[in-house]
Amino acid sequence: MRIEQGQAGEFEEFVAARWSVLLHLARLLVGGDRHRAEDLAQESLVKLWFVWPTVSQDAPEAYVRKVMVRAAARAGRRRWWGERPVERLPEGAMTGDVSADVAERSRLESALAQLSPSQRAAVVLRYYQDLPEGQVAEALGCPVGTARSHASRGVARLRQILTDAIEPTR
Amino acid sequence: MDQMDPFERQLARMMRDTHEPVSFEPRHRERLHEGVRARRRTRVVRRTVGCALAVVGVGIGLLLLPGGPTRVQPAEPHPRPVTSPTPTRSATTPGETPTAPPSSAATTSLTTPGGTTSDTPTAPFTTGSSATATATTGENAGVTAPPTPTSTPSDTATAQDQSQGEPSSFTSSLIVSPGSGS
Repeated sequence: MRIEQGQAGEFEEFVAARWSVLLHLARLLVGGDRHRAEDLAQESLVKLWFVWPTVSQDAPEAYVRKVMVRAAARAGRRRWWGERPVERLPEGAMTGDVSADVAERSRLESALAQLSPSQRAAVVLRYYQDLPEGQVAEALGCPVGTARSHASRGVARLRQILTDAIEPTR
Repeated sequence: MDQMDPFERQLARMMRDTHEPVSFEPRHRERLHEGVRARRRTRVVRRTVGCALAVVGVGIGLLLLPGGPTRVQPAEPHPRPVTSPTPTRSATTPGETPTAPPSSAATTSLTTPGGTTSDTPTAPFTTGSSATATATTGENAGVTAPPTPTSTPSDTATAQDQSQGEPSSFTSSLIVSPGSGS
């Protein structure tokens, strides 16, 4: 399927406008790894390019989101994706010399990284994207009950991990 | 989302607040275009390999087919004419001939002028049915009788000779009797 010049321009505009949001979504989906997040966003946008003439009028962002969620779940199921565990982290978040936002993001991303890919995707779609359970299930490619179960278990796990990090709201 | 507890609200806020604006830089655009080109190449290669595999598969399938040309052969010899057994039976059992009417082909062959040699192969066999025809019309077997001695082929003659041991002229005389009797 060939994309005409005008459609290519529309595609460029869409990517430029939504790149930041898509990259942040990808980063949450992969558990904080920025390079993997860029790869995931790029891969999803490449797939969007080839279906742009049919998807552009409907909901291109929903398409990218679905591709991204499923690709993240697939990548999470792989045993090895280029990383080796080490005893000491080469770079760590220093509490004293980084801002509070960065520290909070680091806590959130490290907590998300401990979830399973399905739980992480369900939590991100439900609480970051504000999607209803039906759309979460559609993006995950599973029944609504399964998506609800993934989200509730993911939140329970995050509650356990972040209970010291998040101050209770009153 | 209305039934969120404080932790869930806090979690949603954290996810949104950690979003840092990132612009779509030229290196991102270049990388995206490179990804599109690579994927297009992959698709072309995959399609080419698929076509090649399909051609190879069809070629192998054609090679594995039986090499010789198929010849159509009949499973059985051609059926003999329907009228052939009828006169033999009628000749052997003259009394049954009126009850079993002959086929129309036999009748038509009889209605043609009996003296012609074109009907000679069927003439001795259909003499039994000629008796039926003559019986209905009331004519004698004089029409059918003359061709039979002259035009009877050798094989039919021998067949009748085997069954009766009599020439076809005698057959015609035998056939007349059931018609006249009825």
